[in-house]
Amino acid sequence: MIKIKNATKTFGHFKAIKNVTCSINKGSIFGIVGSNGAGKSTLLRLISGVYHLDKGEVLLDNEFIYDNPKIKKNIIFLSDTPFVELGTTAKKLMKEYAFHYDNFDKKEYKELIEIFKLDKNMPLSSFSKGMLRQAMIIIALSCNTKYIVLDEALDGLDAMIRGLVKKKIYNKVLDNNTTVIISSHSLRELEDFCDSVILIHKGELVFQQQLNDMDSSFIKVQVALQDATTDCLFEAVDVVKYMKSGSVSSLIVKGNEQEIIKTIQKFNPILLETVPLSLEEIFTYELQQYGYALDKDNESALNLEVK
Amino acid sequence: MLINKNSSEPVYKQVITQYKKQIVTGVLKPHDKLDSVRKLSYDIGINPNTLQKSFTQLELSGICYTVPGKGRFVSEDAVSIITSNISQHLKILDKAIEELAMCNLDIEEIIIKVRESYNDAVNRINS
Repeated sequence: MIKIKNATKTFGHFKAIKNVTCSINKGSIFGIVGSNGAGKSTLLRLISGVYHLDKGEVLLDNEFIYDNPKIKKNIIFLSDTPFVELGTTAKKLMKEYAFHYDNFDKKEYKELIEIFKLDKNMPLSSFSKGMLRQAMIIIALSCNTKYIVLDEALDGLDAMIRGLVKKKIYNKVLDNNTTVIISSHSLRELEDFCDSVILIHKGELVFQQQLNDMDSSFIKVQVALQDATTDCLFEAVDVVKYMKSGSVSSLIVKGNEQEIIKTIQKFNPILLETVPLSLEEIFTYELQQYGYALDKDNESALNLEVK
Repeated sequence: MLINKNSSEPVYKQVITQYKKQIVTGVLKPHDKLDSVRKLSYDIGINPNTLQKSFTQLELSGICYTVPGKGRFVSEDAVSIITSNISQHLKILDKAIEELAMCNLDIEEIIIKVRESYNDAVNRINS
């Protein structure tokens, strides 16, 4: 388990990460989403022990990670812009990683190189950006660490390769209870892939959502009650947002959809419709609460892709 | 198993619904073995933790049971558990029809409304 408490990181005068607190459970796939410059990479580097914290702490299995080679053996960090020395080939890189990581699986590496059809003897500097990413992902997977940290590693890969990488990751999670932490621009990608997701905005953790949790999901409810007053609803369910248009109320309610429907039906509504909120909608709402008002003409103000 | 990743319906729910359909229609019979999380995760490319939640839910409802070391199997009374909601809803429908009849609503209009609501519901489930 990874525990992050009040993490703060400043570069000169710039606060890249401000007071972030969250936990990452073992064997989960944890997503970090945010616009460019939000602080995703910085947070990932703090988690991996690449950066030193200015305040707060990051604990991996209850130990501090920074400057801790023993703990660092359990985690591999894959940057979004991997640096490779001139002349390095995938094979040479493999040998280096195999040296540092005790559980490096050379057989797995060979299998993956074949599946991805990469040439392990060709200089990595001649690989395309996508191929280089693939090579680095292969090496990261072969290290067989308890924790895998991927900085936008899936962005920019074609759909088929992405699907393949995800399946490989799912196997590791199943077989080894591996914990995966991944950042991305694409909410849609993370929504399918992760167990929980956090939204980082201007260095702060704006919101955390456990995905696929029936009891903590957000539901859009359209309801019209017989006597047109809806005060009773507020006591019955956890209303997060409320809008009334004529006699129809639009609510965002938090909880278990079936339970919410059962509860509201007790009021004998004339109209009752529910639909789950997408992650994008939840995050948009949360950012609005946070004071980040979205320009109605510029829906991509978040710089988040929804593919 | 057909999962629509672009649907507004969360994936774990779709999995539960699909299994319920397969059981109710007899595609899966009592004591049939369900796919392992591993196989399903690989086949449809879904987070195994998500699938685990779906299976846990099915088990909690009594629709399937686990034999340690062997896997998950459809329960003997899975069909009656899944369809137990039906009689409840039919009672509610009964009452609603009674009320509408008392308001002098034509049976044809009631049928039109039933068709409308049914089609809307099916569209929503499949979108």
